[in-house]
Amino acid sequence: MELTTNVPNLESMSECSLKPYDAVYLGMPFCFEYQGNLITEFDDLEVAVNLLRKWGKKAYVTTFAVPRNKDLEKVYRTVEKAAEIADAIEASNLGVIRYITREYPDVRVHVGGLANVYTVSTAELLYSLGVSRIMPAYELPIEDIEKIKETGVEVELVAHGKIPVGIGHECFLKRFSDTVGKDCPKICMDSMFFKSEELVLKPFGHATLSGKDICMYEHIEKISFADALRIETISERIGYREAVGRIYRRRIEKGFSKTDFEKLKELAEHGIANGFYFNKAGQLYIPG
Amino acid sequence: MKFVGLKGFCRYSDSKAFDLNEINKMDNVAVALNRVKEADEIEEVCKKIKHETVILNEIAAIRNVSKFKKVVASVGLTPLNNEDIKFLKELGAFAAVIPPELNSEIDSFDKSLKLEVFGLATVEMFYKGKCILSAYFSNKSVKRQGVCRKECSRKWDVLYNGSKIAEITFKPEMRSFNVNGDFVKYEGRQFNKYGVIEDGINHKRSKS
Repeated sequence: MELTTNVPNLESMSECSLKPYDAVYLGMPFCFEYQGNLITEFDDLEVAVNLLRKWGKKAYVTTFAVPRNKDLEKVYRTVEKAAEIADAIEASNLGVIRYITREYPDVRVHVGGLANVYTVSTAELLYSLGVSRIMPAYELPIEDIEKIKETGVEVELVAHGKIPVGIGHECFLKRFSDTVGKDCPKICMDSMFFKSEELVLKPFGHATLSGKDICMYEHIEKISFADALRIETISERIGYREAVGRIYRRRIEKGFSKTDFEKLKELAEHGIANGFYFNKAGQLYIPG
Repeated sequence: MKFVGLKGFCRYSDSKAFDLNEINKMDNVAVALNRVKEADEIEEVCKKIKHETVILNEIAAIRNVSKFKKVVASVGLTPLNNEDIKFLKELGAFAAVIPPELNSEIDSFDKSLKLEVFGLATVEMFYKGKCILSAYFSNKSVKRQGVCRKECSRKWDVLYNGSKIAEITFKPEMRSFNVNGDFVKYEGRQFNKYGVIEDGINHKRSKS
């Protein structure tokens, strides 16, 4: 089983922080304008891929999750470059997924969680079109994901981190540029949350993430049928990526540690949840 | 043309949907089966619908059902660009519903597929089809159960580096558009009979 994570830019890469991982998704899929975004900065992308190769990791390149017509040329360029140098391309837009499988039939295509793969029939169709791996829709419970896995397609699941709960045409952070005195892209380097009673969200580019960290540390055996487990760190600092990665690497190789579990809870500023794996509201945590 | 929802298969609410018998007694309607279900289940019920046009939200179902019906690809599939249009055409769709946020760029779309645009729509926090807020907070899923609790309508404190700097709400806004498409859609199922958007449990928490 692969342990994967994601990094938005070259600045966020260090050998130490990526040591626990087998493969890394390069680039920030929720906003083209993110500083140093590897899906647009191709010199940096080459450096990043070469570093991952040197460190013995697989290099996957992501693409912008919600491209409109005006964005397609940029997406085509990302795909062309990624097809040349990366081990796989991740896409969450159905049209872009089909474009890659049609134009680059030899390239591995990974379908992202925002592509909304809810059913076995969608998974079968995408698999028949040449897709190699699917991250099923975030709101699917384990039993539905297992059925998708039975189609033969590889399945990747979020084991830990903040998941997108929505994505739109607007970056909400920009609404507060004047209030905080910072413009794009600097504003998203700071911490912003939306809070209502006990509910918390984290705006990040065009996406809004769960405020809580999805945490399957206690329950990892229940999702160990997956081909890859993702530690979602696209909106996090390097230290988080390293600490959580090390904890999950130990979990996979050595088993449960109460100390490590407590550390994960400490790192989750707004608490932990199980997501939708147990067919409950995504923000709930079911103790193991 | 009116779109009517089939009970158990459509988004938003079964309370405003109709059963198969009722639908088959109507004239000149298209049938919405835009809740996410397995393709074979959708195909089976589509065979029992007498009307020519259905609206679907599952790509394998579009491929299968388009062999015997006119299929409109739901806005829940979030068609955003010409690659989406090309793919939906390849699957056999007859038309695609374009999210209202894209109305200003509708001329840039490939005309190989009929385009249905919103003349009146609720513009929401996220693209239609790309929101799981309701399921995340309340386990009520638009995609899977057809139910939305409109959690976006809450009043939210905006915390920046730990301090509150503002309040915000993302309550859906009804907007009308002057837009040209092959079909112009006037969204109705999210409104009650008085024309008010139903906010679910969050109506009282809403800012506006």
